[in-house]
Amino acid sequence: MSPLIPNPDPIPLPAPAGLLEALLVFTLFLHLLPMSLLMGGGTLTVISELIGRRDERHRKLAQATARLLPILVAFTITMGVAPLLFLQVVYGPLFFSSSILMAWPWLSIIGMMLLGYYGYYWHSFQFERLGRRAVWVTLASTALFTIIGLLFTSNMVLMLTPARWQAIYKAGRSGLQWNVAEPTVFPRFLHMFVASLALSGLGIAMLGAVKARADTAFGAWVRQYGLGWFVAATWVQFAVGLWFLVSLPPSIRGLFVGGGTVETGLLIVALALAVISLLTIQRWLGLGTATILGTVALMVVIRHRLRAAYLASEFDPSRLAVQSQTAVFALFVLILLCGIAAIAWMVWKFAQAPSPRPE
Amino acid sequence: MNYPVWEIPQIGGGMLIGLIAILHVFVSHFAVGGGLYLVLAERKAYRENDPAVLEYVKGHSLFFVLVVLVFGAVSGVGIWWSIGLVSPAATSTLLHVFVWAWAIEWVFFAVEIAAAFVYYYGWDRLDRRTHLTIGWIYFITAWLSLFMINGILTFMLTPGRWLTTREFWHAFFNPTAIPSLIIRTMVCIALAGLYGLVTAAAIPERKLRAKMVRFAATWLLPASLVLPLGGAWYISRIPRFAREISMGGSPAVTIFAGLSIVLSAILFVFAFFGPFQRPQHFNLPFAFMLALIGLSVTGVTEWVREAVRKPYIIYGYMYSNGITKREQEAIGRDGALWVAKWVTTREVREDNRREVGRNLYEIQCASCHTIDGFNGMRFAVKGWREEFIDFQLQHLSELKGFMPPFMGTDLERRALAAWLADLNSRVPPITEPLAKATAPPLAMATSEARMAEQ
Repeated sequence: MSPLIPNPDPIPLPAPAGLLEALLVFTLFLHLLPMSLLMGGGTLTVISELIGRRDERHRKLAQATARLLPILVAFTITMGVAPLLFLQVVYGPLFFSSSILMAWPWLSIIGMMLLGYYGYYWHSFQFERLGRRAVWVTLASTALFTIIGLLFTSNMVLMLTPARWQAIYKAGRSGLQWNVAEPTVFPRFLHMFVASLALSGLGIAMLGAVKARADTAFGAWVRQYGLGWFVAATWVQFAVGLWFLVSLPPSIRGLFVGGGTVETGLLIVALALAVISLLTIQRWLGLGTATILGTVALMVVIRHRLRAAYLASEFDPSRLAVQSQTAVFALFVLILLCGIAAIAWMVWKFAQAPSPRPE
Repeated sequence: MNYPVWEIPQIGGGMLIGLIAILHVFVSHFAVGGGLYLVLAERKAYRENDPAVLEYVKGHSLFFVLVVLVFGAVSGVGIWWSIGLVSPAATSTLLHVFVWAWAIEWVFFAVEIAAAFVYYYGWDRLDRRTHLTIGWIYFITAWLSLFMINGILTFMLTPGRWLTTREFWHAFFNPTAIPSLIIRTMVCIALAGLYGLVTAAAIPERKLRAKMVRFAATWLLPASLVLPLGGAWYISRIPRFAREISMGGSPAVTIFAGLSIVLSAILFVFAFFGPFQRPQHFNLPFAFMLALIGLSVTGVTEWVREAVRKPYIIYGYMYSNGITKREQEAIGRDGALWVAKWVTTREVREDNRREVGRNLYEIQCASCHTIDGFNGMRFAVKGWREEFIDFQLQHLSELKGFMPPFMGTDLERRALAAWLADLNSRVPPITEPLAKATAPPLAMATSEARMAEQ
């Protein structure tokens, strides 16, 4: 065990580690959906805006997706709070240490988030006025959110590799480490980025279905264009995923290629679902979407197994002391259900109401 | 000590958190009160059947979305980010005691954000009743998220019975939770008025501007009655030492506490005789001036609230430098270098005293001090001989009650004194990164330590 890993908090966990980890995995899945639509959607909006200078369909598409970006930021942040909360309570000794080692880049996420968020709003409210300059605003915001994604990957890797901490700390306490040169960071980030392009392509295909109600030809084109991105990015993903797998330390990689039954099994099922999705999505959008969401969900579980593999000899959450706060947990579940009901009611009311702007 | 140290040159960690937190508080309290302002102003427009008022409310809601949903939400995350980097041990404590409270707060936050979006994008789309209901959902969940955070925040100054029982409910409903909730709720309402004055003053049409300025100014009035009472109740519940610090014990804290009261009074007097009594003469610069005073009140008050907690970060449980009372006992037994994780050496020898001193500075002092910037050590010990510094270190908590005692062996303390004395000596002190010093690598030190343990 690395001697630098801080002692666990003297106060016991308020619930069994397994429950907190399950919530971590589940809420991370919920976060990754809007996050992917944001990162990939931003990129695809930039592309459509550029093509849109000559092509009216792309211009219309960019305008529609750009309007969704600020809302996606809000969803991404909101859904990101929960997994980070559960991560910190279970893996605090690792997470706080790695964050401190890269303190400035990590803190700069807040500033970039603020700028990127305002950029999308600016773009959304001033689309017509900005004219040809609009694309630069989208590009800047998208670049900021993409860097944020890279920094997240970077910290999530650094917290799993305590053996590297010592060298970083010796170089100073200024918190200026980026950790992006670590060999698994870039393929890992690229894996997420390509996934975000695929999911955003799928999102655009669904947007096409909505647009088809008002304008059949445009809707059909949007659907096909989005699916094109989904299919292409998913094919590319097989290569990127393989690169990420190869970049992993051999002992860990082994678990996913036959060494570990659960790890290998999960990976095979996840890949099989992705193949089914690719084969069916053109004809049955619903089935293709459901299967790819299955892949994403399994990948989140696989990611968690990967973390456990990294930390096998370093940190075992199941050994942390527990003193359950059952009543408060029950209250949380109750309030969560009320919250979901409230949000569902509001969204239902909104969807039901007639749109003031016929499109 | 248990965690690595992040050295922030010049301003130090406390100031960094403070800068983010003060801006967040100024916006987040508006986020709560502003929700009530929106629904009541909207209702006023319907009751008076005044489309001009409704147009103003719509404009105000855009301003609200841009300020609250973006800056409020992101800066709130920013506080979380910064406390984890500067005070990881205390952050970890708050997470362990309150994880479900945070989780509940997250639900309220999520509903709040969703409601704000539906409210904003629902103008012209939803019928009046539904739209108002969504406004109410926004306000209620925003206030509930304040309710949750307030319990956690007040716990830090008055953990009360939790110190012995370790019960969640004792921690959450701690001695200052209710008075603080009353104060903060009032501040929310006052800030809603203050921001409302800014948007109202920007209305071009004179009659409507006067009408909305007076409406917004009214929101500042209840606070002028309730805040003094709530404040007195709150102060009566805080630890005696904290009260003493803010009432003369520490000049800086006393001046800031006084400023908080004086600036609040000025704000209310100006608001009453200005926009409330003479709304027709109110203008945008005046509104910005009031907002600036409001920001100053927020700043000094939050600063005092943080300052009176010293020498603790969680009163009676964890010192400002993140060392718990339990760790203090272990340090008394084994020495600070042996209890700490992130140090470069565990031994004190004649030839490594400066390295030891530097390590001790990092784990016990750097959370509040810098070397050359805010609360700078070089200036603090200027002209002090090593023996005098050593004497001070032996009696820190008696000489400076708001500082934790020095924790460590006699040898460690003398090494720290030597390092501090060196800061002003002609010999260049070790302030560069440790890699350049002739120190054994971290792993060597720690593996030696582990061997010695076995």
